[in-house]
Amino acid sequence: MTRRHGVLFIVNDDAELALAADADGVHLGQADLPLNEARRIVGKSMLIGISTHALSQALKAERDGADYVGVGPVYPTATKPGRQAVTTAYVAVAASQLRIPFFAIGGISPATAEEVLAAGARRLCAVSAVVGHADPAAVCVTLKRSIERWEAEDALRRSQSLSIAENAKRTEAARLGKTEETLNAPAVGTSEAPNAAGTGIPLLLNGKRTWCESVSLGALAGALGLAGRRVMAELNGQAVPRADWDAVPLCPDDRVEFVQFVGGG
Amino acid sequence: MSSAETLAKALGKGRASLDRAAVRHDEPPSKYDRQIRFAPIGAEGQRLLGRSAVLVAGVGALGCALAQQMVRAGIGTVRLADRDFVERGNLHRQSLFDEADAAASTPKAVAAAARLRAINGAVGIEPHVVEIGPANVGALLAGVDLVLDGTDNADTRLLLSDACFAEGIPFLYGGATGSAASAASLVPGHTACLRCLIGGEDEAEAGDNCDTAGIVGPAVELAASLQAAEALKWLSGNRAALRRTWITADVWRFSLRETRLPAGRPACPYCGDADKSVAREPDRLDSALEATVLCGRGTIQVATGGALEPGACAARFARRGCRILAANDYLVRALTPCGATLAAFGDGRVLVRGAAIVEDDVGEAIRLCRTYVLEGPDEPEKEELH
Repeated sequence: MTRRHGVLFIVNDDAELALAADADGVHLGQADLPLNEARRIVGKSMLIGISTHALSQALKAERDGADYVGVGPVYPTATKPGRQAVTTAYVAVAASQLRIPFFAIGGISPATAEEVLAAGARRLCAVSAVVGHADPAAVCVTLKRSIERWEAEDALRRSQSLSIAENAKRTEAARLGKTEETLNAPAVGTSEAPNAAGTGIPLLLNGKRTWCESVSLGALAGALGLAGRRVMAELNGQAVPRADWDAVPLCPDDRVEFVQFVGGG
Repeated sequence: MSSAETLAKALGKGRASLDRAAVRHDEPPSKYDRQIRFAPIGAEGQRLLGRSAVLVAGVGALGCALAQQMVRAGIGTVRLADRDFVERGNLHRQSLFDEADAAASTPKAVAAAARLRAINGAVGIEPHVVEIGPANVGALLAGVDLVLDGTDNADTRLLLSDACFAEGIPFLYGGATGSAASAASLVPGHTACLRCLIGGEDEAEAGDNCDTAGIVGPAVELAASLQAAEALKWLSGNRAALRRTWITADVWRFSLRETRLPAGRPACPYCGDADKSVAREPDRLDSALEATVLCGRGTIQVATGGALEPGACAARFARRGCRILAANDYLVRALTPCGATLAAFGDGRVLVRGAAIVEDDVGEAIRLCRTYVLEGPDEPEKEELH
């Protein structure tokens, strides 16, 4: 049936069953059989995925040859009661550290999807929100639209970073021009603004030209999923104490850097 | 009055407990000739260095590099504090240790002190095999002019920053992970403290560490060099030359960024004017067993609350069916029948490693300590022997 509809069929936990059913893959939990054993059973061509609850588990899965990992539970979920949520902080770190695909899972619904996508996920997994809804198909379509919107912005950002020198020139031109012109955007270019409403402000965020809708440094950190993480924030060359983040407004063309705290020694 | 007493007096700290016997300053000038020829230091700067005392907090990769720089530069007293012992996996980046130290599981502070004394016998080296914590941070800071950060975790750094700002002692932060290096001079009265900059939330996500991202030696040496240069400025009478910035660098992709540090935050009890009495009192360990997951190391540290005499510990390990892996004056390491490795330190801490604690199972670590380390009836864990 899945083959007829062109979707993948992944068997949960049981590698032998996956093999017998000629499935496309098998999905393991942390407590199930080890990845290398599962690989031995199912062979090279079958997909193997594994649920992870911390970066160390995900990196280990990547090293051990997993094709994808689950990242979660992002929020507390009724599907796995009592399991502590990993929050979007883990999603953000997974997005920056993993080379293999990952699915964000756990408490994901159209209401929470934006936050999870903002943290860097581009693959979502939902159980309760879909099967517990009167119109499961509509929920799926909504989630899919959200993902596609973020993917479109990714593509836009990639094309922008290719023309970063050009952007720098335009930023300089905008600085020389009037502030209102900068705010009204034509001097900086309209096609680059990802938000149709045009309410965002242009920033240089960690060296990349970005449009942001956050009004304060604190709100931006929150939107990036950095609120609970050990990062130092810098605004126009000066570090900003964390307690002041919410009180520091963002202005057009501010240079913002979030610097990961380097903790090894 | 001995020169050591003169030093303690010059430092103006009555609580100084420096290694007096080892402090000598009658060295022939030739040893530091090239350093004295460097104009900003000169003979006067060298004299000031010789009268200085520093704490190197943590003697891992950064700590080795920092301690070596300080000792070769002729700092009067270098105090070392570290909770760990040398292992083979340290040797690619921890420059004061060798294969023999790893084979003997020598505590890092002790192995480093031996090497440093051979490098420059004129410097007073004071090794302390301890975990830096609320109970001992005051004693470790007593009499030092600045603290060089060689720790590997944010909690200990925050503890040191708080204590340094309370005492008016500069805290020179350094960090290295992967190919990234960071350093910052946090100076009471001039800059914000670490807590204000990175946040003090107990639950804050730690980010990468050496176990997830690995680490390369050049990143360590860069961070330590940035810290050491600031230390030499501060101690040799060149305080105005200090860079009051946070530096982040990457030796692989190559980048170097400098961020100005803000002044102290008025509302902060450490770097501002807020009443010091509102500063949160550090939690004290009670006498019950207390376990801490050491970030990213597959290690749980259990504080047993009392001293663990290595000889008696070794005897208990042997009686309870463990294989002794190493024993020295400071610690005993043993392999339990269930495959866990326990390192019992004289100061009462036990580092627990092995498959049993992969899932950060604190309860299991405490149980292993009760079964194999603490005094009591010898009852080997039968279910674990299969």
